[in-house]
Amino acid sequence: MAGQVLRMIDKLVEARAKGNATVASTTRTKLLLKGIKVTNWTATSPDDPEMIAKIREVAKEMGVAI
Amino acid sequence: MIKTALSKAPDTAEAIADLARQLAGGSPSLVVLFFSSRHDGAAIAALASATWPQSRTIGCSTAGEIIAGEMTDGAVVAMAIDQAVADEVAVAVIDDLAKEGCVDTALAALGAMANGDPETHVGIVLIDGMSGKEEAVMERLGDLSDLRFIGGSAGDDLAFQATTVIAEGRAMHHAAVLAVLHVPAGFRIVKTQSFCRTGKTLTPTRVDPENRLVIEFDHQPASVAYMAAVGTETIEQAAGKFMSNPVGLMNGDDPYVRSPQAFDGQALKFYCAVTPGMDLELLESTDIVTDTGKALADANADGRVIGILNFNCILRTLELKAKDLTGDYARLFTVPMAGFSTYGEADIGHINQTATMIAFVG
Repeated sequence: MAGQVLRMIDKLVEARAKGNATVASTTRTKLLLKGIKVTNWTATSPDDPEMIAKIREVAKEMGVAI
Repeated sequence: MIKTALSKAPDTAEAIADLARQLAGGSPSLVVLFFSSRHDGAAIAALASATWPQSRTIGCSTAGEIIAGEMTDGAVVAMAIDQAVADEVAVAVIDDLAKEGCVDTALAALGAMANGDPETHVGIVLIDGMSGKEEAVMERLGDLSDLRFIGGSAGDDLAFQATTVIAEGRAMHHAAVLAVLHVPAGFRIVKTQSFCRTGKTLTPTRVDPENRLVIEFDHQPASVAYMAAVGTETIEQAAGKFMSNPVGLMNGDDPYVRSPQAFDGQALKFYCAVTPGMDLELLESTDIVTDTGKALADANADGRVIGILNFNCILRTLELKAKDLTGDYARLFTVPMAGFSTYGEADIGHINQTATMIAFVG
């Protein structure tokens, strides 16, 4: 499987931004500061269990169900 | 309308009275004060609350005060933001930064304002600059709210002993103040730092985030890796590069600057925590006055900016002082501006060697 990390990031950002481009941008920056470099992940990136767990944890902290 | 004032009166009561005279005539919803630690924070808080009883009052101690036209030490500056600019202001205090859930509680106290429209609501955050809690506060604020919280870490004139934040007549240590302003005409955020990229990367592989220490970069002792990156042969020479060669967590071309403070054995202590595994790019300093001037021109290209709150890193101030450029910097501001030299800046996260500003538009 591939691309799950990107899909989770996109879902988290979309859920938080609700279509607001400014909030989408700041949410991506928040992820960077938490140690998730969004631009490192593509649709073909291998599913990294460690990163998937980290995104789940961050989503929980941010109150987002993914 | 936004008004600013500076008082150099050494007596605290006289200084507040002086500010009140200069700020008279409006109906501010918020008065923000930045004061030298030579003044007693409790006296400033009580006097400010009594002087502007119809307004919310917040502020903090500084490592130098800034107003359009002048950078000072030992003084008090204030900004009065009129109700026409900010028609609603909510203020909350984090009394004890060590208490679990403290940010959640404070944000809840801000009520609906904490989740207002991010286009017309902006947050101010003032944090005890000796607490070491800035990263945790900013991260949790970001978890809970989509508003931008801009601000800085209080200073104490470089004594590094104790800093003070004030709100609503109270002065506090190991605390933080949050404010959310509803600004119907909107605002702009300015984040400016004067560095260019070098193309050299250092990746923290072993860190002690609680103590803001990097123990290893790229599986080498941090001191060895930093010395190699800046091209020096001794630790003393490398320490001389800290101000001109910090590192940045790159968000595209925009660095979130992390400034080295001191070598701690083979480790490197920073002014803010770094995340293991995240590439940091070595930066090279450029010209603060030129870069800030460009950032201000970009923010005010349409001439709508009517006032600026400025949180300027003490390391930038020290560089400006060393180059005798404080006057040039302060004169870049052509609209009312008040701010202070900080022990750290806030915008989404905790950062160093940066100026973060709220530019209010009218």
